Amino acid sequence: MKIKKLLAMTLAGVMTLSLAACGNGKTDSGSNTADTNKADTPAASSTTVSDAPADGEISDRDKAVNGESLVIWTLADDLKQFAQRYTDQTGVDIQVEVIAPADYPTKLTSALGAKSKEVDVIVGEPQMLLNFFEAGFFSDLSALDADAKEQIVDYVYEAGKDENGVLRALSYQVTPGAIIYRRDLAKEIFGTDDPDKMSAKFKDFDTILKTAEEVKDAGYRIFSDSGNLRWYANAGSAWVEDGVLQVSDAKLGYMDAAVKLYEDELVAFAPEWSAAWYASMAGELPLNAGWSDLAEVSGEDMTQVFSYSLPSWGALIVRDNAKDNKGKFGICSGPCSYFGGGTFIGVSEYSEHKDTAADFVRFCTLNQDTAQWWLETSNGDVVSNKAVLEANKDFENESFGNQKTYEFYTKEAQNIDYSIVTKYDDTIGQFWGSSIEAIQKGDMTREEAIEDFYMQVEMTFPEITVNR
Amino acid sequence: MKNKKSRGIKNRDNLGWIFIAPFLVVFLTFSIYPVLRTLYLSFTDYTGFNQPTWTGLENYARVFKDKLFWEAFGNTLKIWGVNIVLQLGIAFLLTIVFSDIKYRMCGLSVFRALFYLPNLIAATSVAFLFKTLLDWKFGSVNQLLTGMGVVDAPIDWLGTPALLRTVVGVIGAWMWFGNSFIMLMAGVQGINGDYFEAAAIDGAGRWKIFGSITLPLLRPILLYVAITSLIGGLQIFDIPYLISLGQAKMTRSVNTAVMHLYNMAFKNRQIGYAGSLAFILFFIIAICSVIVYRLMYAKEVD
Repeated sequence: MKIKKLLAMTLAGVMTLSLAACGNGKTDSGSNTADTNKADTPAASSTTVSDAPADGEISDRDKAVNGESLVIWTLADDLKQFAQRYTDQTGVDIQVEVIAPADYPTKLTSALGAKSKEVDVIVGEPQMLLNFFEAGFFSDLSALDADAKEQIVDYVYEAGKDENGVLRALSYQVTPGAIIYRRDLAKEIFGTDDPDKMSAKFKDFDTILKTAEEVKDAGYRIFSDSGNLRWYANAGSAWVEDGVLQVSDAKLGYMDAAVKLYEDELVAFAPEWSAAWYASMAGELPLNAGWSDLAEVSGEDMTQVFSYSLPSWGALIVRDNAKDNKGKFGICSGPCSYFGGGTFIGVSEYSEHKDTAADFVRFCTLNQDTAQWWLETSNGDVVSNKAVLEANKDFENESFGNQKTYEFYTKEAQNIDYSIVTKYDDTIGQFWGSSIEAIQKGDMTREEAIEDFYMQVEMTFPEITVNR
Repeated sequence: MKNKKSRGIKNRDNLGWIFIAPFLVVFLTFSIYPVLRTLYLSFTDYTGFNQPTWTGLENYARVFKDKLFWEAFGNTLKIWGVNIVLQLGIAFLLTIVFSDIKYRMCGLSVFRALFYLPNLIAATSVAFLFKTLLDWKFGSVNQLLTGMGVVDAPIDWLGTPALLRTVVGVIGAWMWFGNSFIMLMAGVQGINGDYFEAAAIDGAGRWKIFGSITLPLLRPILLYVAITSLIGGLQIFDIPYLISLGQAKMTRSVNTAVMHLYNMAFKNRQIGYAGSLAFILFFIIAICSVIVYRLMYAKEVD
């Protein structure tokens, strides 16, 4: 009898506990949420912050003198270094939690949707920012506006503003796009490796095709894959203007070029991020490697890739995988200016340390010492601070054949027209890409593929008018 | 005295509520509330970030004009068609073989476990397994086929829309035929053995017995299997999603109704619209279930 009672009690206890657990996990928007969140988070963060430096930071926190502390949720390790430097200089203790980009919007939305006070500094990539601004997660940074306008590259300043023109986020870096080419192959094929002359070889899509043929005739391939040009998919003008879809001649030119690169086999068919793609930076790669392991495709014809079309962070990937080719690369302009990615920092609307958090944002983005330090520490990241870019413009970069890379990227960054960026770009770009693929594979004619593209845009975004 | 009519915990009639309270609270919070909330959101322009504004029936009108949704629904039917024919076909065949009194198959419990095994593997692993097996250049299936000289050139299983849909249907059948088999077998075992014996004595053949005894008496189970696989089939998501992950063109050819819903909600951030898709899908499945139910019971009335 006693055993039965005990069992019943235990079961009831387990049930109640599981209910309580459910109650904790679900954060309602109310005044008591701060407590539940605080109870949750130390455990959560100790599991997510995995690497050793984070632990170091936590022990450093005990040394904090004035008791202020910040929590940062970020996408990449960069901010850990910024935080360490800030702590060293101010004594403010900072805890950095790195969250995978795919999980970031969900995590931020559920935490800040419940008005959690846990996090002070939040970040976003450009394509996430508008949604975050609309949701009211990023606090007003107008206090930094005047300095930002003066010190920061224009497009970054524009990207950090919400629809009403209120500054809410800033980035410490710029990510302008460029063509990264092999100087040695350029000399062999064209007799010159001068960046300006190379830029002329990539000035529009027709010229790129001609260049591609010349490169193929010499036994090489212009790009690793026909998808490499996708950064230029909007061909320098907006996809949507005043609610109307814009398919300009230049965009059609991009489509035709991408199809021709595929049909005439002007590329090596090694997709970005594939093993063959990485291998191509250091030398030869087999044709048509696709996503395969390189060991599996031995015996195919070998070739070399002449150029890569990537944002500024991509140049660092090429450099770091170049091995013996290090120093043999150059950087030139593509058909139009664009930027890709970049981490924007802001202050959480619900933070209890807004002033300190804003000071941290200022420290990361509007401080010339920090910018110069980051440029050196990151070994090549292009910072957003105009004065620092100006100061480094004569720096000759050994990895790129002593080219003045900062001068080049500064010019490219200043050419970026942020007004052509829309919140639809990612999805519409994907639709455009899949239409192009359908033509390449012969599943659709050009007309059918364009019609299919119109249909997809119309169905996905009813608010966009499509004029056929 | 207010004995029996009294309210509160002292009344034994009300004690029952306390016992079901744990379940009720969980059920209301995690089942009923989300459904009602989705219903409300399906009438709004909710994006997950904004304050929802009421838009009336706009989302529902859009569903009927959404060519991508109907394309996805068509894909779902094509996948489900392959799936259901194979799944029930194999399950039936096995049931016939195992229930035949003349064959006296042994090891039923072993086979039952073996057939059910694919269902125990996580969908992610299944998708990855088939993706590897069916790889265009280096997959075992193509190597086997070309090696044996069945085909000259490797078949692009995953890159050809119609083939990919068939593959997804076959995977579904492979995963679920064991489940159907177990249920059909249980149904057959529930039939009184005297019928079979009597029929055998009367000289009825194997097909006669199956058509006149097994099938009619199996109808309730059959109905259950048909409706559950219809509901499951129209909601298919995991395998097509995982097998086409990250490959835009493949995604389109196996884009199922629920994948479309998922993309609308979590990729394009149109949660309100996705809510209305969910409810339309619910009604379609409900109507289909009723039709199946009527069809199968109509026979019994005759």
